[in-house]
Amino acid sequence: MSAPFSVLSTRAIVTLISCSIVPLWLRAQAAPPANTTAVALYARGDYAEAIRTAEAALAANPSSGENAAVLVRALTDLGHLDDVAHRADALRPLSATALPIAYALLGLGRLDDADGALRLAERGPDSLRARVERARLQRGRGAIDSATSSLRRVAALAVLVTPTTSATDLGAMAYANRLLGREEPARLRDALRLYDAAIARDTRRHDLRAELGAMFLEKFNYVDARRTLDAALAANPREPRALLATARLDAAEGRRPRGDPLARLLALDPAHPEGRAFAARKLIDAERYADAEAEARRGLVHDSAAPAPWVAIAAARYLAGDSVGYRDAIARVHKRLVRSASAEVEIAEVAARVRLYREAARVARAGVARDPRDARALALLGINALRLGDVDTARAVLTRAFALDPFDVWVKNTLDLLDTFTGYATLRTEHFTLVMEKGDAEVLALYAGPLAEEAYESLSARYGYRPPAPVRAEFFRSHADFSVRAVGLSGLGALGVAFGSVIALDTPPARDRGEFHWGAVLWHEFAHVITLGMTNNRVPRWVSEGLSVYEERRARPAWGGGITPTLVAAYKGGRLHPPSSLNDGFVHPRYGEEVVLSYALAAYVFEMLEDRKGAAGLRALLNGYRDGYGTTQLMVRTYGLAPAQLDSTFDAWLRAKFAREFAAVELRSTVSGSGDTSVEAGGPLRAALVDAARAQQAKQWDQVIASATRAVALFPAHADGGSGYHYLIAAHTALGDRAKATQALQRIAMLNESAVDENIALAGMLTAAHDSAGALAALERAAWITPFDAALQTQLSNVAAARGANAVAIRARRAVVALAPADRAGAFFKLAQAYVAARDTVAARREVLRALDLAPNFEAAQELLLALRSPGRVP
Amino acid sequence: MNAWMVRTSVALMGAGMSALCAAPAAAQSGGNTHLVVIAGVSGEPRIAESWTGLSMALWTAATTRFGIPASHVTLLAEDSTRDPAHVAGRSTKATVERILGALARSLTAEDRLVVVLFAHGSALTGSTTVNLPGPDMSDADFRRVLAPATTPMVAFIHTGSASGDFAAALAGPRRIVITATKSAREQNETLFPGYFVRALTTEAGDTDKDGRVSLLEAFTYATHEVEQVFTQGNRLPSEHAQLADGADGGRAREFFLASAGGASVAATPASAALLRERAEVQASVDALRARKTDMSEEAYQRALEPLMVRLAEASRALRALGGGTKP
Repeated sequence: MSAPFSVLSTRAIVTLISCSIVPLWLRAQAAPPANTTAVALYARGDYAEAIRTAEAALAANPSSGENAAVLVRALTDLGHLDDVAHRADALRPLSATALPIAYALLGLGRLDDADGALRLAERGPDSLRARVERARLQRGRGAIDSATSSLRRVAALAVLVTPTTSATDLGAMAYANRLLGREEPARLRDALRLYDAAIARDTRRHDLRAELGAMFLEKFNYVDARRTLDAALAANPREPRALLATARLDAAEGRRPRGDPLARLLALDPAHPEGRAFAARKLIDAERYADAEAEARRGLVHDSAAPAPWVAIAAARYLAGDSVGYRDAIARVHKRLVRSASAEVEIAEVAARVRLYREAARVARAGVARDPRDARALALLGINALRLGDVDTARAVLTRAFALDPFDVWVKNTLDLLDTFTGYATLRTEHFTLVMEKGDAEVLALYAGPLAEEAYESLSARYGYRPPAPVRAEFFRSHADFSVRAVGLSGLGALGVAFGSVIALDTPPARDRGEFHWGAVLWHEFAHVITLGMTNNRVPRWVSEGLSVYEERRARPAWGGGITPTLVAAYKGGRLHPPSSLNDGFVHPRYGEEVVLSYALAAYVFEMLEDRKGAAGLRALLNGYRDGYGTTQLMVRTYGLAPAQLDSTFDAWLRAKFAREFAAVELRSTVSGSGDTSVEAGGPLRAALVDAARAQQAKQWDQVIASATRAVALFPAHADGGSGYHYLIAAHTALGDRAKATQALQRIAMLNESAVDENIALAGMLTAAHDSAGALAALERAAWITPFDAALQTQLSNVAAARGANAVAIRARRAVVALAPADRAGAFFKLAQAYVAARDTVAARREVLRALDLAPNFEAAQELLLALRSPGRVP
Repeated sequence: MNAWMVRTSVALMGAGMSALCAAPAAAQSGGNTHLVVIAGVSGEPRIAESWTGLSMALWTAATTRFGIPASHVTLLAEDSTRDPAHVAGRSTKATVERILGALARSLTAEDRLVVVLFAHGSALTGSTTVNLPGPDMSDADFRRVLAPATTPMVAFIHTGSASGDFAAALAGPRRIVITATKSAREQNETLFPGYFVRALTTEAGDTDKDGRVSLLEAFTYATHEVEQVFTQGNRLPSEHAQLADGADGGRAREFFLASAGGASVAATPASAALLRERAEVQASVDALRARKTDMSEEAYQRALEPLMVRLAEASRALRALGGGTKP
């Protein structure tokens, strides 16, 4: 490549000198216009007034190129493309209008006419930009090489930039570099430099700011994207390119949009193709495919073949299982964008967002076949291969993607993560491959292996579906690593993720002690393996999440959260969607806590449904999703409930089931400084707890007990921090009533899935009360929450051994050994003793020899060894 | 156990015995052990409480388990009025210099001096210091005070923050220096002292199960437990203990505060044979261990078991003769 490029470069410079350089010199900046000029009005987004002013100016002076250009740009931004086309003949003689007219024609899909306009523009003040746009047009038509050559010629002009080069030309060179940066990432730095220069040259060029912001967004630099786009919108709140990029940025960051940039964009131009396509994508995320197609079609008004809406339509049809419709839609895109993988990239992304990872990989692979140098297609292929458990393919493809686009932080993070996999151990159980950090594996496998198998057997039997083995479960002690595994970036709030037959989750060290129960997460994610597998990943998110939480609750009483004051408050206050639209609570949350509360509520929907038709009903529901039916049809078919009936039936069921709790709680909303609202529980429960707190402060223990008892009676399941039980413990402890304090602590330990310290404290109190069985149960619960606590495992092993709970004692002592205690010989010896108690002399001998290997003169171990060799003398 | 008996045991065991077994005998070769525990300015009641507890734990273990006469144990504390029965004085620079200086000048080559510091360190003035009531004491001050002690074995253990530079400052041919941190830059409150004292004063640190805890064992135990705290909490460690004895831990391995445990066995032909048997077995174990990496664990254990049975039987027989079986 380098030799031809050198020749071209030389040639290009000659051409430049003949036609482009001169305009570069000549186009010095005019004096800034007054605030009332059409240019100024346009720059601050007052498009209607800009049009009026420009028209008036043109009436007075028909040769005013500047006013004509503003007129065309403003009309285009407002979506009045036909109007522009009508006026084109009259305006075209003005050289400044050629490029804006070309944009309007491009928007109308009149590509040949647009090409003509661009050729004309190449002879005017926008010549460089026109060349870049023509190259883009060529590229879309599949003339990749000639397009690239054109872009390079424009980009090469950057060496000739002078202090008087116009913002327009700087912007054109920046854009050329940005487009070339797709395959030559180093050029993105040039693009950035040139954009910065262009914006500095003319601070009113908010369109260039928007372009720069979009470039940052494309390259995952969300901070600079936000800063740049905010600056553009601060100057012109109606800058369409900035509005579109900001909407995309909000989505990329998972942020609830402030000021709804998409709505503002569509208010400007209701048929904005990219805007409507983006809105359609949001509906696709909500799994409302028919609505998505209808939305995308609104973006075809200007140009019935516009690629963006057709990509969205293709995606919606693909996900709806309409293969014929999909092929038709994608063919339309391919006709317009020859040799481009952009449609496949988009469809792979949306497929992955609705958990169709296999399909995402397949489409991404098709994208790679169309354009092997599309880094994003490669990245999506790699990421989805990894989600499917194909680590080797993922690594190979992601490496290729990274070479093309080193700015893709998802790819880089994932490759970095894959590099750490050498530090992971792979363990196998009957149905699982467990992948854990080597240092954690010995301990975690003691718990994770049996629990995973229990989940497999239990849920497979219940749903009548046995997922293909092995299911791959990856455990991360670093939450950042887990987050990268899940979404390519750190900072994900979730604890686990299921990709189908691949599960990833945090282990206890990834979070603060007592923050969560990893076992509940494993169970939850495996339930997804069932529901995703049964439906070929076509289960709606709210259904899959609701069933997963419901299955947690069925597995262990404390798991899955259960009813909480916040949930009741939110539901009573109308802050949660009813079942028929509960998916929106997951994909388009309106406030911070809505997703978490929607999980909890969805679980109750399935509890109600099981009450009506048992597990068979749930199976029928999932099988229906597999067969392509939607929720509305399935609810009618399976349960005879139309959407409104489903909502009202559930409402009645929930209010009856939790009548006491509903009477105890009212919604109490507060607005935070950022404008977000939070849901808080008010009402009688809160009043009782406030009374208890006040009495505790005054050390009026009888009053504390009275108020806290009232709180517990109002809402018995409330056992989180600051519950009535907590006040009861404090009061009874202060009064010396250990038995009642223990009772209250027991309730917390039983109700709260991650109450590790409460369980340890409870064990101590029960031990003091000579209730070793209770103490053992409490320590067991604690050890399941945090198996890496050596002191806890030691305590558990001792209590278990004393009670003859040999299996528990062995597991706890194996955990102690695996935790590499300083006294390893002692730990092996105690493990040997546990095996002796379980009459497993073979294992006992193995462990005592391990002890003696470390400490040959360990007297007690020597005696045990001798005893083990003398039948009848085993202690 | 008296010194003669230990020397006898060494002679009987012969040169083939591993360092593990031979070392304690050499370390307990007579003389007196002096323990000086210095608790500096705590800064807050919680830490004061902790250091008082650790100091007392050492005092109790020294005067009971280790058999060190109470007159050879000196506790200096920030507040000497709190426990006058045990605390000999306030831990001022003058008092520390007086007491350590006197010991450094008077101890013989057979004697041993153990200095344990519970104190915050700092490195604000160009040199590393420990915070004592009144003027602080620098590493150079301690080096100067201890300089006369050229022949006795001196173990200097600084369990506090910013202690790392003491290792280089106090190192010497008859010195064992343990610090809780690797440099003066590690200035967080340390976890090391609690685990170190636990190792010395309980069975937790006796990892080779010989009934006693060497300084190396205590250091290894404390280091391990501190690491575990950081690992389990998924936190970056803020302290890295170090040991400097000029022998890669060899001196610390031989240095016990306790006398050899258990009763001793009379030097009879029977006991001599048993001790010889143990030495032979131990040599075989050492040889087997050298091949361990080339063997499966199952094969290794198959080879190890008969050796361990012989060792166990010899030990049992030695106990039956009425004496201790610890090497």
